Parts: sequence; structure tokens; C-alpha cells
Amino acid sequence: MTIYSAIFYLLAALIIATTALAITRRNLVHAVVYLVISFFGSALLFFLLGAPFLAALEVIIYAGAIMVLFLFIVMMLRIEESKRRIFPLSQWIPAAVLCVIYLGMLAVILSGIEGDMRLETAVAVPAAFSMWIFRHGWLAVEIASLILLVALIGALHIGRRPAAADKKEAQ
Amino acid sequence: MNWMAFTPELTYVAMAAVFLGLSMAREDHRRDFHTALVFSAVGVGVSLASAGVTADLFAESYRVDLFSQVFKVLLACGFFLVVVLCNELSGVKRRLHPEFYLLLTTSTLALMLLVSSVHLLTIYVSLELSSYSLYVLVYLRKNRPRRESTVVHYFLIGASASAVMVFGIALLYGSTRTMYAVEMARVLPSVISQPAAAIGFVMTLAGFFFKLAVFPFHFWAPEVYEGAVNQLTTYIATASKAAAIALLVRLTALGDSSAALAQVLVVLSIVTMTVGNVSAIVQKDLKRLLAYSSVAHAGYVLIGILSMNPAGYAGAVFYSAALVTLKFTCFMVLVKVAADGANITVDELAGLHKRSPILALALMLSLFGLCGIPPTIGFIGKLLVFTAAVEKGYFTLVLIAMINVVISLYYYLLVLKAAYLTEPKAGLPPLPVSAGDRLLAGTLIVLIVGIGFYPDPVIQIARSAAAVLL
Amino acid sequence: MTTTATLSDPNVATTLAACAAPLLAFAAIFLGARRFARLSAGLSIGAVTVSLAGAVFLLAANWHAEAPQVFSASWLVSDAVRIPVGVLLDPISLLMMTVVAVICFLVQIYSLGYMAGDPGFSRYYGFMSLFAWAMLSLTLSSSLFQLYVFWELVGLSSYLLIGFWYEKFSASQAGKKAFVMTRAGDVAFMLGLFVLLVGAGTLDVTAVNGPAAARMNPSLITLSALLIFGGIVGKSAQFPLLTWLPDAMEGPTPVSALLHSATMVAAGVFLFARLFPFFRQSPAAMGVFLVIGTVSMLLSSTMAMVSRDIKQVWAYSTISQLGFMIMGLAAGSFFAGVFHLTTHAGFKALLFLCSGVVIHALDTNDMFEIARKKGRRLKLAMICMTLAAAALAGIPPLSGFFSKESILAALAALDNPIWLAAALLGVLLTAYYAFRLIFIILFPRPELVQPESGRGHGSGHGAGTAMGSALVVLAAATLALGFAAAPLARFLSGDPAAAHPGPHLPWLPYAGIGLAAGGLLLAWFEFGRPAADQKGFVERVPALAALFANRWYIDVFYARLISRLVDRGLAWLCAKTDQRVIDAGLDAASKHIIRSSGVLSALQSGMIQHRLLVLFAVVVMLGLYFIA
Repeated sequence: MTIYSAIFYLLAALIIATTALAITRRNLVHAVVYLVISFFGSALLFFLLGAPFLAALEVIIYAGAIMVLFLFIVMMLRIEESKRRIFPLSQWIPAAVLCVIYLGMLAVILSGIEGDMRLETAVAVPAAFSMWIFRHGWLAVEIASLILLVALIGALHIGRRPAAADKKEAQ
Repeated sequence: MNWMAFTPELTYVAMAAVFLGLSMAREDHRRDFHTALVFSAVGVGVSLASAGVTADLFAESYRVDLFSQVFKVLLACGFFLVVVLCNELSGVKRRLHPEFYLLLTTSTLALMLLVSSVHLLTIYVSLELSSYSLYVLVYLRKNRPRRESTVVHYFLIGASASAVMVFGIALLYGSTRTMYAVEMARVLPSVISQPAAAIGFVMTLAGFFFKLAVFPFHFWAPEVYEGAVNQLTTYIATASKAAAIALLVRLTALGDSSAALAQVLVVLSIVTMTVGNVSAIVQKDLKRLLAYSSVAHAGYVLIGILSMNPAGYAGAVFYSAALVTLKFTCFMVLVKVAADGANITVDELAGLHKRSPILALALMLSLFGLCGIPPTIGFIGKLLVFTAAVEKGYFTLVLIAMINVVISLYYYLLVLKAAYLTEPKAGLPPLPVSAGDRLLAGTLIVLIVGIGFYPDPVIQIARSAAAVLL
Repeated sequence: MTTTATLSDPNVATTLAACAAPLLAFAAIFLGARRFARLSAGLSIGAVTVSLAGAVFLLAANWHAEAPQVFSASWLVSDAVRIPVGVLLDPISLLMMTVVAVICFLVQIYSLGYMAGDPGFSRYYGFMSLFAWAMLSLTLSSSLFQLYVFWELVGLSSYLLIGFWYEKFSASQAGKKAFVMTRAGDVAFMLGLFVLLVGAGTLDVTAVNGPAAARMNPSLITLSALLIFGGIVGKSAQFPLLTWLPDAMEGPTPVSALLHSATMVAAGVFLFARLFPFFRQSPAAMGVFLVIGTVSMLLSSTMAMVSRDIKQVWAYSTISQLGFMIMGLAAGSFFAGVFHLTTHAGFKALLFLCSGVVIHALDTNDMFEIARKKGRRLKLAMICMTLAAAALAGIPPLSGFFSKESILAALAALDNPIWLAAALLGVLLTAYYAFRLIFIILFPRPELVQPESGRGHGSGHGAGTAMGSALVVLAAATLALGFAAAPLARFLSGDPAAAHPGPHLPWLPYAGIGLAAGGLLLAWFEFGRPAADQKGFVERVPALAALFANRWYIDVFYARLISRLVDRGLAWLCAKTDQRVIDAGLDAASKHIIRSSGVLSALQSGMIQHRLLVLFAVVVMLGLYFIA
């Protein structure tokens, strides 16, 4: 076992453990913090695989922006520690069934691979990566920008309070 | 780069930009309607003009060929027709009309990009763009209780389908090491026996199963059809289905060599049409009924696709054109009858033959077409699809499909009975049908019956479009 | 052995004109003429007159024709898919075409009086034209595929016409029942065609009757024959799908006369005759047909013995006479079945039209009620009805006597005497129930007769000219048609001797007449004679009467079966997923958990998770299936 694989398994275990903790906590703030740790784990994993840019994005966007947003919302809504589980027991059954099914699928996929498939580590320098994406995938990038526009409009309308509520608050 | 080949898409980009501007301007719903009408008419013209163009754009991730252009014309026509129906868009607040058109435009743009994309990444983001536009559009309906739950429901199923699809794409990329459809067609036959590639392939199709409302991705259909504004439901039932069929055909053509894939699709097809038809029988709400009927039709289309022969692909292309025509006719009647933008039940069609004979006739022919009674365009579509399957030896499948057709006849006739045999409730005035509406209904009637009698030109187009893929 | 004709051939041109005229009338009525009631009726009657003239011309022109004529073209859907469409002119199709055209014509004339003033007058004539087109085209179809298409169209127009008075009667149930039952038969029919197509490789009628069938595996022949017979059972209301027909009488009476007695239900028997050479290849199937014909004939006769509704009595008698025809055909006599089909069309249409006059004048279907309101004063209608009932009972010299005799003769040729015995019992029962009805109406018990000052309706306006003339023509046909047996036999099978199939049994006609007379006398004894208490022998045994009146509990059986299987099974399941899963789920969730937020209710109702579970599970299963 090389040092790399040791670190890999360590990180993988950390990710699974913290994600499991995140979905079982009754306190939402705790859950979010565990999720942040899990994202850091993933970022390290990407770094290990030779994708420093992706690792940075993971930290900046997921652990940084999105999770902070989550925390803000949790604090703004002042949700008390819930009496019920966020993830009630009745939903464990479907989740467990799904888990078993997907593990089965994974086993089948792995069993189909003969010998070992080696992934070449392609160290993607941010500049090279951006050059590539804008040269080969710029249509996709443009479409993605349209998605953001649509999502923005959607957020605006779905997030807007009904007019009646507005008036009430004004009084 | 040949920008000429990209003009239809650019037209819709311009249209989206105009409506983005209008959404910030003063409220004027007539102006919005007329702008949309002009732009979408121009869109039809541009699509027709660029119908014969072929090109490879954007580092070969985008291919303009006859197959894509046929579907673009179909999409442009579908979009234009839906805009025509928006004359009385009473289900959406006037203030929000520009947004409504804007999102409809981005969705159409996305579908157009979709039918031309030959790169899995572009396919995925286009699909998402169209889905996101629709999620927001569904929310725009006014005075609808629990519309949030409808949207969330739609979104969750859509997001799950996307998740499955992305997972599939990743597996597919892992085993073929390419994202380009052309190259994948070359590599795939040698690796399709590997579990990773096979599972990845089926999962990649999931996104389109969702669009087409194929079991088990059909759960959203009844609620969204019911919850969306009538015009939007029309759009979802016509244009968005056509694009989904196009992509399913394009992707399935890649996995052509696999008999197991055909078996998977056979199972899906049978379950889908049976679930759709049996569920439709008990529906009271007309839009719900049509939603389940769409599910059933997705099953019939799959029969053509899974035949995996030129006749089957051509049949599926023809079937999508037939579906757009027939479903649009149904919904046009629905929109006209539900003048205040409300949902209507089957019983509310009572006495339609007295209130507006031409709408009743259009409804009758479109329902006949949907159940596949000759001589309508729907009959030809079913015939092509079924003969393609029989050619490949799927007797049992066609037999099951025919039994399904018989079941579907039952609920279509229930609708017709309401329209033709029941007397209207006292005091219901004749429907105001303008000259334009009459012209539209008349044109559709002529199309439904005319192509039913003389389908050859359309079949030729469908065949040469499908030939591009092979 | 067939000659192929071209479009310029006068026969073909006439045929096409005769078929197309009603279609054009239908289109014209629905496209523009429907606001003008008289114009619609004129168009429709004009069209059917063209058809009638065409049919008579064709019958006369081909009376001595040697071989059937085929005109076929293919409807070019695309260069890969061709659907042969065509016209087949042979004795059976010509005869049936003439019968259909005559009855359609007379019924449409009659309807001028019957439907006068109805708000749906134009619509009625539109549907009538649609029916005439579909039925005429059905008889002339040269391929079974084409026949099937028109078969369905005939079913559709029947559905439309039964439900015509949707508001007035509880016709929706009846329409539904007719639809579901005939549909069950049609599915079998379609499967049969499929088997035939796979086995013989063609659906062309002449080929199926001739060389193609010979190539088929015998067990496949039996299978497809039985399945196709399923369609016949559905359409001709034979056992076990026989209960829809009496309920279909909810429609206007002329519709009952046209569709549900003379023509549409006879389409089943027509199909039998059309494929007779094919069916004969399978003795096993013919045996099954004989059993089904006999069972239907006897069952429906018993049902007719207790019904009080005159239209229902005639409906049961239609089933029973169709059973007779099927017995005749299944016994191997083509002529007997077809001849009875022809004569039956005449006298049964007459019976319905007469009943229509009575119902129209007195506004009731109940025979005792009619008697009380002095139905017998509608002289023309009662005379014609008695005449037709006598024909139905098989009293010489009316048409029914001759055709029933030839069926009896065909049955006598069979080894097993039980079929003949059953048929003779059927003759007795037929005479009994037919005259039970006649005597009840003609000789009401004096203490029940309404005083003169009854309703405004009365003998004053019975049949108008339009209705009357139709009755007279049909009555004349009933009188005369019986003597056409020998020429018809020559026309149909090229041999006048076919009129008397089987061994010559001198006692048979006497037995037939004797039993018919016996039934008549029994009816007289119980209902006719002045001292009669008008209570049938069946009604003296309550259990038996209940059994007959409830149609041997066939309906109850179906209701149970269907409610178990369909309502509680599939439809229930679907309705439940719809209501409980979506509506109730959301309701309960939003009520009990968090009132305000629809978003959370969708999330917490628990259902979306289950759906997503199904979704993911199915995807993975399919993936695994793909690899396996």
C-alpha cells in the first residue's frame, strides 16, 4: 500500500462518516458543518487525483458559498432543534432499499472490469483547463449561462412573497 | 464558422433578449403577444430557410443536418402554434407575460440546441436549460392552489432524472473515453457488453425518458399537465415531446448493435403504454386524461425506436410530427373551451358540437388520430411504427400495443361522447371562435386527414431524416 | 376463379357510387347542412336511394354471373407499406348489400315520421348515413383487414346511435355495456386475424377461403376460426356475450330496427357466411359454433317468454334467430343460414317498426300498458305486427316458415338428433313468446282497459304516410320472400336443390308447423282466450320466472366478475393512486403537518420519496437486465 492509497482510503472514510453524520443530525447547524467537512474531504480527494483546479472550486463554491448560504438560511429562519428527525425512520426503508440496489449495481459494474484500469493522472493547470473549456465547450458554457439566467428569473418569482403578504407587512 | 447554419437558434436568442428587455418595461400584454407572434413566425421562416443546411459547428459538438433541421422546423412550428394560442393568456398575470414568453423562448432554444447536439455535455446542459425554463413556467400560473408542490414535484423528478443521466454519462465516458456521439458510435459496439457501458447507456437515456414521460419517469406528467397553464401544457405535450423523441432516436442509433438494449426498451414500452392507457380511463380532468394519453403514446413511439431499423426510426420521426399535430389540435380545443384559463373536466365539453361545430370536428379527428383510426395522420404513424416492429419480429409487442389501442379507444370515445352526444347545460352560449381560430382549426383538420390520405411526402422526409443517422 | 375488374367496369363504378353516397351525405350534413333539418334528411335519404338503386342494379346484373368479381387497388401509404383495398362482388355480398340498402332506405323513410320534431333530427340522419356507409362497405370488403376497419366503424356508429337520447334514457350505461361487450369480441376477432395473417400470410377473403387456408396447419385454422368467431359472438350477441343487445334498445326504435335486428347484428352472421369455406376446414370449430348457436337460441327464447317490454322481447328473439342462423351455418348449410338472415331482416325490421308506431303513439314499452291503452286500435301496425310475428313463429306461407324449414332440414342431416330436437323446441318457444305478446296486446283483460277519455294520443294518429308505407313494403316482403327460396338457392350456391339440404324427411315440415301451432295454441290458452288470466306457465313457477327474467343471471355474473376484476382491480388501483397518493396524500400532509407550505407538504407526504425509489430502482433493474 502506497502512501497515496493510504491517504485515499482515509479521506474516503472521512467523507462517508461526515456525510452520514450530516444527514442524521437534528441540529441543522451541526449538519451543515459536517457537510462542510465532507466537502473538504472531497476537495482533498480531487487534489490527490491531480486536479488542483477542481479542488479549489470545490472549496470555494461548495464549502464556501453554498454552505455559507445554507448557514445563513438556517440562522435567519431560526429553526429550533427539531423534535423530529429531519430524516424520519419511515424514510430509512426506501433509502436502505436504494442503497442495496445501488451497491448491487456497483458490484456488477466492478465485476465486469477485467484486470486493472489505470487512470492516467492529467494534471490540469487552471489556465490550460480554461483554454480547453472555452475552445471545445464554449457552446455548453453559453448554455449554462442561459440556465443561470432562467434560474435567476425563477428564484425571483418563486421567492417573491404574495402581494397580500407584502401589504400586511407594510402595515 | 458557418453562422448561417446557426440562424434559427440566433433568432430565438434575439427573441429571448427582446423579452428580457420587455419584462422590465411597462406592462402591455397585447404588445407582448404581438412581439411573440412576429418573432415566432420569423423563427418558423428561418428554420424552413435553413432546412437544407448541413454543418459542423463549435468544435464538432454541434451538428446541423437534415435530421436536426426537420426537428427544428417541427419545434418552430409547435412554438409558433403555442404562441398563437396565447392570444388569451388568462392563466398568467399580465405583468408576467414577458417572462412567460421569455421562458418559453429559452425552452424552445434549448430544444433546438438539443436536437443538434452531438456532444454529451452539450446535450446535458441543453436538456437542463429546457427543463429549468419549464419548472419556472409551471410556477407562473396564477390562482392555483399548491402550485409550489407541483413545481417541487416536477423539479425533484426532473432532478433525479438528471442525476441518473449524469451518472450514466460518467459511466459511458469512463468506458468509451469520448463524449462525441460520432466517435461513440464507433467505440460503443466493442464495449457495450461491459456492465459499465451498458448501464451507463441506459442511464443516459433516462433524461429523455423523463422528457417523454416514459415509465418510471412519468410521475410528473399528470400533475404538471394539470397544474400548468393550458398553453404551457400544450407546449409540454407537443414541442418538448418532439425534441425528446429526436434525441432518443439519435442516442439509440448509437447503441444499435445491442439486442439487450432493445429488450430493455421493449419492457419500458409495454409498461409505459399499459400504465398510461389504464390510468387514463378513470380520469375526469381532461388535461390529466391527455397527460396519461401522452404517457401511452410515449410507449408507442418507443416501439418504433426499439425496432432499430431505418423503418422504425423513420416511423418514430413521423410519429413525432403526427403527435405534435394531433395533440396540438386537442389542446387548441381545450384552450378555446376553457376560455377563462381554468382546467376543464371531460363533462364540460358537453354539447361542444352545438357550441362550436368546427372545434368539435377538430377534436373528433384529433382523437381519432390519437387512437389510430384511418384515414388520419395518427393511423399512418402507428402503422409505420408497428410494421417496423413486425419486420423485426416483435409480434407479441405489436399485439400488446394493439390491445392497448383498443383500451385507449374507450376513453377517447368517452371524450367524444361528451362533445357530441351530451347536450350543453342550459344557458351556455356558443363559443366565440374568431376567423383566425377557424382558419387554424380548418388547417389542422386538413393536415390530419390530408396526410392521412396521402402521407408519402412526409414519410419521405422522415425517412431521409432518419437515414442521416445511420 | 375470380375475375379481376377495373375501375371502368360498370359493376365497380356502381358499387363505389353506392358506397360513397352515404359517406358524402354524412360529410355534407356535418359540415354544413345540419342546421337545416329537412335538407339533412333529404340528403341522407337521397344518398341511401342511390345505394339502393346501385344494389338492385348490381344484384340484377350479376344474377347469372359465373364467378365472383374482385376489384382491388392498393392504398399506397409509402413504397414499403401497401394496404390492399377492394371490392368483392359475389352472391353473399350482393345479397347482403341489397338487404342492407333496402332496410336502410325503409328505416330512413320511416324515421321521417318517427323522429319528426326531435332536436337532433339532422344529427340522427348524419349518423344514419355514417352507418349506411360503414355497413355497405363492410359487406363489400375484399380483405379481412378492410372488413375489420368497417366492422369497428359500424360499432362506432352503433355506439353513437344507442347513446343518441343520452339525456332521455339511462342510455349511457347501455352504450357502455354494448361497447365493452362487443369490444371483448373484437379483441378476439383481431387476435384471430393476427393468427390468420401469421398462418396464411394473407387476409384476402378469396385467398383465405381458398388456397391459403389449405396451406395452414389445422390447429392454427381451428384457433383462428375460434378467435374470429369471438368477434361474431360479440357483434351478433351470442352466448356468452348476449346481454348487451336487450339493453341497446334504449336508442330510438328505428335504430333498433336497423342496427340491432336487421343489419348490424347480422354482420356477425354475415362474417360467418363470408368465411364459411374457411370455417368448414375445421370441424372442431364448427362443433363449437353449433353449441354456441343452440345455447344462445334457447337461452334467449326463455328470456323472451317473461319480458314485459315489447322491444326487449324482439331483442331476445333477434338473439335467438341469430342463434338459429348460426346453427344452420354450423350444420354445414350455407344457404339455410343466409336465407334465414335475409327473411329475418325483413320480418324483424317490420316487427320493430310496428312496435315503433305503437310506442310512438302510446308512449310506453310495456305490453300490458299498451293493451290497456287500446294499442289494438292502431290497425295497420297491429296487422303488420301479427303478420311478422307469424313469420317469426314459422307459420306458412310466410317467409320465416321457409327459411326455418331449411335450417331444420340442415340440422336433420346431422348424426346427433339432439340439435334437431333443440331446434324444434326453439320453434315451439318462438311461437309461444311471439304470440304471447300479440295476444296480450290484442286481447286485453276487459277490467283493465282504460276508459275512452285517456290521453290525447290514440288511434287518431298511428302511422303517418312515411311510417305506414315502410310497414306495407316490409309486410309485402314478408309475405313474398319465402317463395324466392329456390332462385335464391341457385344464386347463392348455384344449385336450386340447396334449398332443401339434407335427407328428405317428409314429416319434418309437419313437425315444424305442428310445433309452431302448438306454441300458438298454448299462447292462446294462456293469454288469448277470454277467460285467460294472462299468466304464463313460466310465471307460475316463480324460481323459473326469476331465472328467465334475470337473464339466467348472466349479467349478475358479469357484474361480479367485472367489479372484482376491473373495478376493484385495475381501475380501483389507478383511481386510488390518483386520489389517495396524490390528492389525499397532499391533503393529509398539508392538513396535519404544516398548513402553510405546499413545498414541504410535497416533500413530507412521503410519496415523492416512494416515486423516486421506484424511479431509481427501475433504472438499476433495467441496467442489470441489460447486462444479464
